[in-house]
Order: sequence, then structure tokens, then C-alpha cells
Amino acid sequence: MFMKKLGLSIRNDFPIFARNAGVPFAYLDSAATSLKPVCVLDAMRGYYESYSANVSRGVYEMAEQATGAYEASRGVVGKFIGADRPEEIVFARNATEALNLLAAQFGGLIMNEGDGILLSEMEHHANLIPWQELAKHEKCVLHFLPFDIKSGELEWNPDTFASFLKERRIKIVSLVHSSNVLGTINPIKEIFAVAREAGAYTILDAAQSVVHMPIDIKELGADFLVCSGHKMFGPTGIGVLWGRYELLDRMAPYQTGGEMIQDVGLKTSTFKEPPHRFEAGTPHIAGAIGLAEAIRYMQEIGMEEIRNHEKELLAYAREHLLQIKGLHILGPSDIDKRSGVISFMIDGIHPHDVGSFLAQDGVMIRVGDHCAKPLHKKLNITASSRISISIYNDHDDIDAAVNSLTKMVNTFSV
Amino acid sequence: MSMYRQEIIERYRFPRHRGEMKNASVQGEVLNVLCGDELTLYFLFDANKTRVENVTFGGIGCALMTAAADMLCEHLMGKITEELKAFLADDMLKLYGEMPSPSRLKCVLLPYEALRRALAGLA
Repeated sequence: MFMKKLGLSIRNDFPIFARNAGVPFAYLDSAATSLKPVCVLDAMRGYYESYSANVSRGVYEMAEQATGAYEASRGVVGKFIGADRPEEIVFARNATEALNLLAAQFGGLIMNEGDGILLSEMEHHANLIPWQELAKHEKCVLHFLPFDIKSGELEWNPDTFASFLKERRIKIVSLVHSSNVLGTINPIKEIFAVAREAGAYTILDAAQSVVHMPIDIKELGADFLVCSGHKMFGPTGIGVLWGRYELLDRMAPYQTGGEMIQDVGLKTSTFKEPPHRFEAGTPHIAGAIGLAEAIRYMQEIGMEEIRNHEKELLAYAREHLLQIKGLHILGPSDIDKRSGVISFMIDGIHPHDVGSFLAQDGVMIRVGDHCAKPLHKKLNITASSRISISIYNDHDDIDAAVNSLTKMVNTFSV
Repeated sequence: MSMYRQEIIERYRFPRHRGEMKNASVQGEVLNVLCGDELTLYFLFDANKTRVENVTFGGIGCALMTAAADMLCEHLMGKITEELKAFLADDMLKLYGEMPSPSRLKCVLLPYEALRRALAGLA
């Protein structure tokens, strides 16, 4: 099979590197949003230029072409994560919307007063606040798997976990696959196996992981999965909710209106089957087409190839960052347990100053709470600095960050 | 030009007016929603409650906020309440001496917001 070499040699696929007349910059914020390859932009432009009809209703050829491309995108997404059928793929705006949909429509369906929901202390706000709202409405109780401050790993006991879940009447276990701050890859397969055995439904927030490693929902034992197109080389405004069909079929629509109805009367209406039941109004057609192209692009490279490239870069970054005076890395030290991001603190220097200082040197990183305030509170900090990597990153990006950080530490200690 | 000129780094590392004031006449507390940092400005007025006898700031923050707070404390020392009320956001930027990047404007203006908060408590 044709293998693309990653890093420097793949940058030609990403038009943004020509920005500012090609003045080099180190983009180390892909965990916030990834850059877009030209094939994704072409696919979206192709739709708008050549067949930009609405989906699911026109009887002319161009509309059929649009409907065909939109529906085929479901198949591409489904195959990518190991879904049984394309109808299990619901297009949402992003992972956040998919989680809100789940909390409202699945949570609302199965939760009773006093039932429990299990999350972890390292969740992104997207996988926390929708459940807080559900807990408020349904009078159910939130529980949290803690993480160890030093290792950055979830603390759970496989031997007592089943009884823990039963005692607390946990009906939903919703966990982040890999932390957007600590980088920790959680033992989802093991946790979900016990959870399902104990009668709980499992939801995987794969927003951070799906772009970094192969994912098979059956192997992981998930009932639902959510992810965002823009973090996986696709456009903004398109996200994915995958759910087992029989569960989706039990859920009521999240939003109502056009496209999602079967029959409409003045006082009552009936709704379509999943996935269309959950896609009210004209969907983000170009977004779905772009996302499918982004997935083809990743598949052409190979997810194992991506994982290996990034592991090598993470190890390189870790080694060089740790040589900077006063710098402490958050999360696991074992690269096999880490994906995508390296967050860190520097003694005596505020993360927002780190971000601004590096920006002056053309190094783009993320600083702040990364939408994970409870995680930061547990670490007794308000913010951290985060380097995140992707397929187009290479040693030169890490070197640029390390050089700028070294310069900063020197400037701030004179 | 670097956002981190010598004066900013010096005031960040060795602020001259940092410290909690137990006997403050009035104080103003603000939160930077960008990073979660908190800043408090403490004012001690004279017996007539018209002239500032001492100003300090408390809280841990970034270099921009810390330097701006330190500059503001220095500037407000000895001023009368009318002068405090007439001090505007633009004056804060002039005092700071440069325009920060849009994403960091909040950090430099935070001390000014703490001043407004303190003045509200004065009435």
C-alpha cells in the first residue's frame, strides 16, 4: 500500500502553510482544531460549485447527486469507527451538540430519580455540563472517577467496580477517550466491559482520540460515540453521533421541523427513523462531504502510521521540554498511555504569558483551562500551557517551541 | 516590539505595590474570565475620605496584569476621589505604555476594572 511520509513532507497538502508568503510557523494547537488538507477544501468546493442542491427531496439529478454524496458520507464515517450500518451515524454540529442530544434524549429516556451517571474528573466541559443539566431535571446523581494527580491516570478498581456501579444505580457511563489536557488514554475497553456487564450504557467522547489512533467501537464496547469534524481535518460545524441502532430508535427527536418528519398534521406529526429523526432542517451538506473526505485522507495515510508518527514526536517533545528549567509536564510519562497533547507548567511564569511569548516567535500553542476547569482545580492551578501535535508536525515545530520557551525562561529570570 | 519589555518583566517579578491591606477603606475585586485569575485593589483614604493615602493590589496573575496593577497603584497614590472617578480605560492603556494584542487586552484592563469596582463600593 502507498504510504505517505508524515511531518514536513505532508505540509504541501495543507494550503495554510503558504500563509504570510510562506513565513514558517509552528502550529501546535491541533487539539483545538486541526488544519485542513486541500482535498477536504476541494470536496466542499466541489459540492458548492457542481451540485449544491438540497438533500432528501429534489427529484432532479443534481439533487440526487447531493443526497447521494451526503448519505454516502455516513457510510464513510461508520466504517471508520466500525459501525454496523450507516444509519447509526447522526450528523450534529459538533461533539458538544451530540452530547447534549444524548443527555437530553437518551438520558431523559432512561434516567429516573436517584439513578446515577458516572463521568470522570478529567472531562471536557462538553461531557460534563449536559449531564449536570440532566441531573437537575431528572433528579439523578453525578459520580466521578478520580484521576491520580501524579500519573494522570484514572483511579478505578476492576474488582470492586461492578458493585460500585450497582450500589450507585449507575445507568450511564460517559467518559473521555483521551484527555485534552493530560493526554491520558483511558482504559475504555476494560471500564466499559464492566459497566455494560453491570447494566450501564456506555458513551465515548472520542473528540480528541479519533484523529490520533485506530478506533473500533465494538472492540471498545461503546453504545454511543461522539466526535467533531474540525478536530479530524474536516470542516467546522459538522460532528458525529454514533449510536447502536436500537438505542437511537428508542429516542425522541432532539429538534423538530423539516427533513425529520414522516407525516405532518396541523396538531400532530410522526417522525422518520434514525438517523434522519435527529437531523431537523437542512443539514450541513458540504460539512458531511468534507468530513468524509477528511476520513478518506486519514485512511490513505493509515491510523497506525499516524499513531506511530505522533508517538515519536511526543517522545521527542517530552525529552526536550524536560530540559527547560522549572518546566513540569502534566499527565502520564509513558508515551504509550498518552496521545496528542503535552500540557505543562513553568515555575514563576503564567501560562498566558507563555502563550503570548511563543506567539511572538511564530509558535502557536493553547493556554488556559482548555474547557476542563474541574481538572485544573484538582491540580490546584487555574490554567496550563498545552502543545498538541498532528500529522503535519515535525521536529522543527518542537524545536521552535523549545527554543522560544528557553528564551522566555532566560528573559524572565534576568 | 516584544510584549515583554524590561519594565513589564521587572514589575512582574518584583512588584512594588503588591500586598493585602487589612485596614483598607475600600477594595475592588475582579475576575479575569480568560484565565480565572483574581485581582483585588485596596485603597486607604485619609480621614476626610477624599485623598488616597495608600493603594496596593493582591492576587496572582500574568505578567501583563501584574505589571499593569503595579503601575496603576503607583499612579493613583495621593490622588483625590474625583481624579479616581475621571480615570478611564484609555488612561490605563496610556499608563501601560503600549497596546496589548486583542486577546490580552483584558489582562491590562483588569486593574482598571478593579478600580471601577472599588469606586462603586465607595458610594
